Amino acid sequence: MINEHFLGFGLGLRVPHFEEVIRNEPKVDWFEILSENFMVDGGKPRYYLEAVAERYPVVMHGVSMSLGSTTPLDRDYLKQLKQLMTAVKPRWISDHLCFTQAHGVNSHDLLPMPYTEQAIDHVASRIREVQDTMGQQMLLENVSSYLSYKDSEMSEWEFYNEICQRADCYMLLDINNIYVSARNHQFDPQHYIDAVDPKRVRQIHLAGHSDYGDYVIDTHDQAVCDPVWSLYKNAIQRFGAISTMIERDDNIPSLTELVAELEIARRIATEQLPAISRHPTRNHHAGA
Amino acid sequence: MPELETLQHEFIKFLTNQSQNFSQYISEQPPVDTDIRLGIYHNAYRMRLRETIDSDHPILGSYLGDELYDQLVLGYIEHYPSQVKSLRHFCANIPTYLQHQAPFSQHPILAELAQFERVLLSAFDAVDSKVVAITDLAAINPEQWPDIKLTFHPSTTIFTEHYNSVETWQALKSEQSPNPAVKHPLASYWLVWRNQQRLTEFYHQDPREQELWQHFNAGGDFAQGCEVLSQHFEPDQVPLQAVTLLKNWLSQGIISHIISKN
Ligand SMILES: [Fe+2]
Repeated sequence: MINEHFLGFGLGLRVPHFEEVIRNEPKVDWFEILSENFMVDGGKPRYYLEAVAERYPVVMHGVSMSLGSTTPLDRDYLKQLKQLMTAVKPRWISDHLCFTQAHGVNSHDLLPMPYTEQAIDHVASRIREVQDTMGQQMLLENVSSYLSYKDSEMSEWEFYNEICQRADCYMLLDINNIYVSARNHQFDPQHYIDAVDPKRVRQIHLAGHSDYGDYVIDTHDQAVCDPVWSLYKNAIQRFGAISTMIERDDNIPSLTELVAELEIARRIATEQLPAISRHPTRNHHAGA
Repeated sequence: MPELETLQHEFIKFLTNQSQNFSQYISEQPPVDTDIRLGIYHNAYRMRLRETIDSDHPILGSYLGDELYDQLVLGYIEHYPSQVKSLRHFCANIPTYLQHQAPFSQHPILAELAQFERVLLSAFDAVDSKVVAITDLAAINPEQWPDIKLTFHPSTTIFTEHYNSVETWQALKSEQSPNPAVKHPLASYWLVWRNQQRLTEFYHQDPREQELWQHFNAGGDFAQGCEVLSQHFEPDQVPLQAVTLLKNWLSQGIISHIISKN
């Protein structure tokens, strides 16, 4: 049930915590970095990144590969990503199932794809192209969405499964995004989790959102909510020990508070799979 | 892939207020109106860009005050749809926008103030390099002095001002009210760099120091540097002045290499 890809319980590395992470080495098993934030030449960001990467396993998460766009893949971007990978030696890289730009304009947002056969072909072939360039498989994350296209021919989970299958890539399953989209499109989030191919799930994202009653927005500015925790419990039951982390991008609390929230994930997962507590994560190695 | 391409183009045109056709692609999903669904994306685009301007240009923001700042943010976002992959560069055209767009263009200090904030940001994450210390200069044989050349730290930039922009920036930074904008009779120079503690610093250079700095930055050697200074100092003063400036740069930590022939 527990394999070499299980890193334990991690956090997104954020600027307000840089100093504390390298000084106190908190009880976090690994960190996820936002690749674009470190695609700079030098200075503080790169200094802290290198210091964190010396102390913790790191994975790289991108937001602007724009796998769904119809314009050619941005070769300069891939080159910079590869340079960053050489410096950081991440356990893996990931990006989203979405498009972010068209006709030379960047939305800086994760815009949803129509769930069509044509889009499956398109995205799967681009992921293959990226994987060939990088010389490794990548993880693809499901996004939150607020609208559905008339063109869509299938459910989001069928679309997502099929792309990962054809591209032979892994899934970064964002449980909060499933919950947000389920609320916005009125489907059962558990149904989504039950439909995902368990062999492909390699990482889980947890996060908070803003609830407006009839709809929900993925804001990453709140604690993880109870329904998302219970979906997480079911996800661990179904997928086994999966590297899990909390994303917080706004209204960022103290590192102590985030580590405490991460302990909830650790507890839930360990209750489902007691073997997790015997798994040698980073802190066990360090004896901390 | 014409359908997918059209759909994506329409989405982007919708975000940038270029078209109102996009809703025809969207399924009705009561109880939430399509307009609300689309509005979430429309707002998110603007919010993210606004936050980028807020974090890159806080001092410009406090100089303008809320009303003018809002006008800048809205105008800039409409005039400059994001063409950059990284938000790090989204505000690159703000100085140009301020320079050409009324009412901002009537106050040339605004573009300069914005440019100064951008220079500070560039120094913040420029390439890393070691710097050399005064002791490295002492190690150089006196016969080699005429030939030495310098490389400055890669973060080093000259900010040229025609108005009291830096003074204004400093006042606002310490939450004081700035003096009125004044045009200098001659351009004024500030050297901006990132120190070894990775903090951005700057200091004012007088025109003579500026000339010598430009000389070294263009690859000139010490002997020619002394000639540059000889236009401003008595001949017997020149070497001492040059060495003083060099030592000052070394103690500020802006020289990465001293290149001597041997
Ligand atoms: Fe996520």
